[in-house]
Amino acid sequence: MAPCLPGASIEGKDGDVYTGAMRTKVGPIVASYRGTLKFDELDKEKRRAVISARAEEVSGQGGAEAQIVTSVIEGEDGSLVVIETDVQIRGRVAQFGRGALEKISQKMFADFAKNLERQLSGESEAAPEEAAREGGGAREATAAPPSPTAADGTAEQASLDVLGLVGEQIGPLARRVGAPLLVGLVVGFVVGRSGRRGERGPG
Amino acid sequence: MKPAPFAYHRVHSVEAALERLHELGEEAKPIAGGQSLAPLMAFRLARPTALVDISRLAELAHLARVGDELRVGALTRHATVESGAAQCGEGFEVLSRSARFIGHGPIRRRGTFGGSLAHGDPSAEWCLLALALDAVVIARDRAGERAIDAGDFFTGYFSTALAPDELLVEVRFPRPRPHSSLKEFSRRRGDFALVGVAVALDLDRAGRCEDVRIAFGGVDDVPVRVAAAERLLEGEPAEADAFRAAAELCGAELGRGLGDEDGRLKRRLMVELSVEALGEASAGVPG
Ligand SMILES: Cc1cc2nc3c(=O)[nH]c(=O)nc-3n(C[C@H](O)[C@H](O)[C@H](O)COP(=O)(O)OP(=O)(O)OC[C@H]3O[C@@H](n4cnc5c(N)ncnc54)[C@H](O)[C@@H]3O)c2cc1C
Repeated sequence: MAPCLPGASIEGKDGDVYTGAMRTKVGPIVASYRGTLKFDELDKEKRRAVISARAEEVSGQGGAEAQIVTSVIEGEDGSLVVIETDVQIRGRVAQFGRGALEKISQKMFADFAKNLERQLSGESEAAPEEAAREGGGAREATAAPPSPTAADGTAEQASLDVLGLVGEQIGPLARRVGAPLLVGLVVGFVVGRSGRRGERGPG
Repeated sequence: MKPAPFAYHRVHSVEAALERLHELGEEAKPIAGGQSLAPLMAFRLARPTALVDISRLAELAHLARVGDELRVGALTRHATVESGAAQCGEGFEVLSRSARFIGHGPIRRRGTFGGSLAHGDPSAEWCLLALALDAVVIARDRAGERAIDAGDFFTGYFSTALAPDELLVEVRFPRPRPHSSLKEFSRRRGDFALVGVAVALDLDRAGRCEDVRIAFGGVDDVPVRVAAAERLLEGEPAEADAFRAAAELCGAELGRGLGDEDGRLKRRLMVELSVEALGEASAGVPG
């Protein structure tokens, strides 16, 4: 899991509980977390994993809890990795600027999905950052949805569906590596009331 | 909560600012109006080790027409644009009219045009208008200047094409766009928009749309144009039916991934706001 998460490191293991740290950066915003990650369920045959993560902000009173469910749907022209996450963020950070943290999490999980895709497509070297941001800038909204399957499979749980967002980020990459593989990502944020309140904060 | 400790440098020229930024490295940041950076630091979401205060660089506080082009200095305050319709000149009314959507009076008096673009909030008014009016961002480092199209400038949430030792010095709007408009919805007055749209178009003699731009904020990690809707309007009469069709297409294109309640609201806003904006733009400057 750690190799898939940029800025994350696994520091120790106690039974099936991993301890680790994670640093994430979005523009000028930096958030550091330390916490644990546990596989609640791991079905190698079905390629399904349920992971729960808890983390505390390194220098702040905030924290985050997440449940991550990853599963793989085999399709005709490749596999579709579906990642569902419920992230709950606590603390001041969660109240800031229209849920800046929601956005950080979105980016985090998008990066996660990209890296996972890279691993699955057998690319050993991490592709340069630009590749993922290919075409950068204000992209025109022309990307096709990654796959209807992703939406169908997970829509019920998702309170915020960022498929479009991620589809755009992942689309060009998938073409670039030439792998007939699509990664769908549905992030279900349950940011709770504090997150909503955060929408009104300054930016 | 107080910000983490940082060193503070005030500079008196662009050259000095660029030297400082270069020497201090990636963890240093320029600070202009401080209306975005200071709150981020107060919450310790951003922790630059050094600030280079460029707020007094008068050489970057201009707002002037050079022929067709409008040049906005990086340090031009939001309030200066708001009251600067005369300096902006004909065809740029949309800038002065839109400034009032930005925060509140004190924020507009301190916050800067360049700071807004450099901060790169995907729902910021200036970011949207830069995209809709085909603005060019002029960035300078110790080696010299480069021009970056607004379409290539925003790279992600709060992220831009600027290098850490580069300053945004000016934003250039290439030509008057009298038929343009910005509409937005926010939950409370002065808040950042939940969804915003900026449109610009030209009208030929028969009243048909040309050179259409439709840019949305608040729906992705960068402001986005909807090329398909722009194309749909090309050559069409500037009438309600055509606007509605283009707006629906915008909602369909961008609203695709938004499945939940919030997403449905955003999608509806995209449609209604762009119908309104296109209508206002085609009617031209209100008297
Ligand atoms: C309560 C509140 C409500 C607000 N509402 C809105 C709103 O509705 N719409 C809106 O658009 N904005 C809003 N803002 C933000 C405001 O417009 C800011 O002024 C603007 O986003 C940033 O400009 P600044 O000069 O204050 O930049 P600063 O806060 O000084 O800097 C912002 C970022 O840009 C960088 N930077 C600044 N200038 C330059 C430069 N010349 N070259 C390179 N990098 C530079 C800084 O390093 C920093 O990373 C709001 C702010 C507050 C506090």
